[in-house]
Amino acid sequence: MSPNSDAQAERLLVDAAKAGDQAALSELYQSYFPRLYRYILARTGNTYDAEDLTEEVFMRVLEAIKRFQHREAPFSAWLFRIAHNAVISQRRKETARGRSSQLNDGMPIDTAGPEELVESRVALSEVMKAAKSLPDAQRQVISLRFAAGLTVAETARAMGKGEGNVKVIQHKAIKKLREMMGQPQKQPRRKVYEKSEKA
Amino acid sequence: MRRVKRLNEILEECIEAGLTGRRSLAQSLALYPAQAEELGPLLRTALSISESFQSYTPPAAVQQRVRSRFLADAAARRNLRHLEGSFERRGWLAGLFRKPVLGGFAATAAVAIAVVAITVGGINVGSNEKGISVINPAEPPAEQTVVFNLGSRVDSVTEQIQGGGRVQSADLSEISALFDQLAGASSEELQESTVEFEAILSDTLYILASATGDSAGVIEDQAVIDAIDTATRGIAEAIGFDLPDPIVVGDATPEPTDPPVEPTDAPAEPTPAPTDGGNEPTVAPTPTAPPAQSTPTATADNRAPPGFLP
Repeated sequence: MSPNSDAQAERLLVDAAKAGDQAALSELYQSYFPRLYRYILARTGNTYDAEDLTEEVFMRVLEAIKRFQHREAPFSAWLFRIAHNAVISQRRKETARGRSSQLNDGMPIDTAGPEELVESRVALSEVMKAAKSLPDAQRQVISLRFAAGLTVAETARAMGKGEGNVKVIQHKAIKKLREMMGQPQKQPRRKVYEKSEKA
Repeated sequence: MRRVKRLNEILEECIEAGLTGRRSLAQSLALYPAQAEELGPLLRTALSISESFQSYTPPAAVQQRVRSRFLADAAARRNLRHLEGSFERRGWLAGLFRKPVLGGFAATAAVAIAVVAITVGGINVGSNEKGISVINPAEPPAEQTVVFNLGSRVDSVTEQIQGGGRVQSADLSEISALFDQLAGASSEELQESTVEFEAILSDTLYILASATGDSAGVIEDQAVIDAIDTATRGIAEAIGFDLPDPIVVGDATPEPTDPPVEPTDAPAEPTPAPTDGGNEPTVAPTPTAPPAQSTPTATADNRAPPGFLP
């Protein structure tokens, strides 16, 4: 399916959802839940907040979808704008309470075998740890582009910035992340290999 | 004239090609041999970050739980609309919905009836007091769109200030105009965007504090500043949001140690410079930043998070 027909299909889906069609709402949910969850996880670094805020954002979408207008922004940009506001609001509440988000261990990955699971988990927590020290705009671009899977155009709309601006921010963010993370490590596998060699 | 591509454009093109499977990393590097040395490590990092996120699957139990709540809430709303339509068609009670005092009672009664009906039908509906708004038979105005635009504008001006820039008269006028568009909205309509407004209103206070604290700035815009301030406080009251006291901000002159902002490669864009990276404020509102309340007196060199009293 071409990007244009994808966009057209989503437009129809959103229109049906606006009219209260349960099947369309369900399909939108299926399509956006993983992306939204990953985005919020990338922004908060915390699965508990990711769960709560993902639910909150979907409830906000239900309240507001009737007023969504295609001509203003693509649906994805509109939805992730709501998510961004929810994250900011949560952050302010935490700051007021004197609590800061921590990376936690609750990150099950059910798509990989045991060895790959360890590697992916290390890699993701490493990415999130590094991303935490990025300036907010850079972290937002990384979260929208790679966690939510938005295009540069959609990212720009969600952030209220120009595409050229987003590309510059993305470039800087990747450069910084590379410096912070260094080369991808595959420690567990190497250790097993060394052991068997000595034996 | 042949346009020379900047590295950030090439990087994005190659990332997109990699993510959509159109080109491998090696193919991308072969396409740009002159940039390959610099491009390779960045592209590798970008694709591995994407892979890390995409290989993570959110817990199925959470997905199922949120889905149930989402669809039950949607069903409750749809039933309310049917109920409303039914009242309208019969002509009875319809008038009640248009009267402010009785409307609240009628709406509450309608919610109660719908929730009971759905619960009896075996669907577990979560509480949602904001569902009342769907009772209003008039087609709602596009406040959400105005809120979205206001949020974008306020966000961009906030970042501009945090990057060491000044508040411009045009910024204030535009924000004021967007607030004006919300002047006719009812409390209920405003409350539908509570989450958005909490961020917008706090940032607006920060912008106003920066504008009034800028000695070389937009002092002639006092009337506009006052209008925005009044609108901010009015909306805060309508949505029941306790506004933080505005900080006293010093002159928003860029700090001399700040590295220059890299110019954007899209001159036609309304926001000319990226507001990330080196231009971050000393105390940025990041999750790891200490609570704003513990910050001593805010000055130009010691900016507190938007709108919070030291």
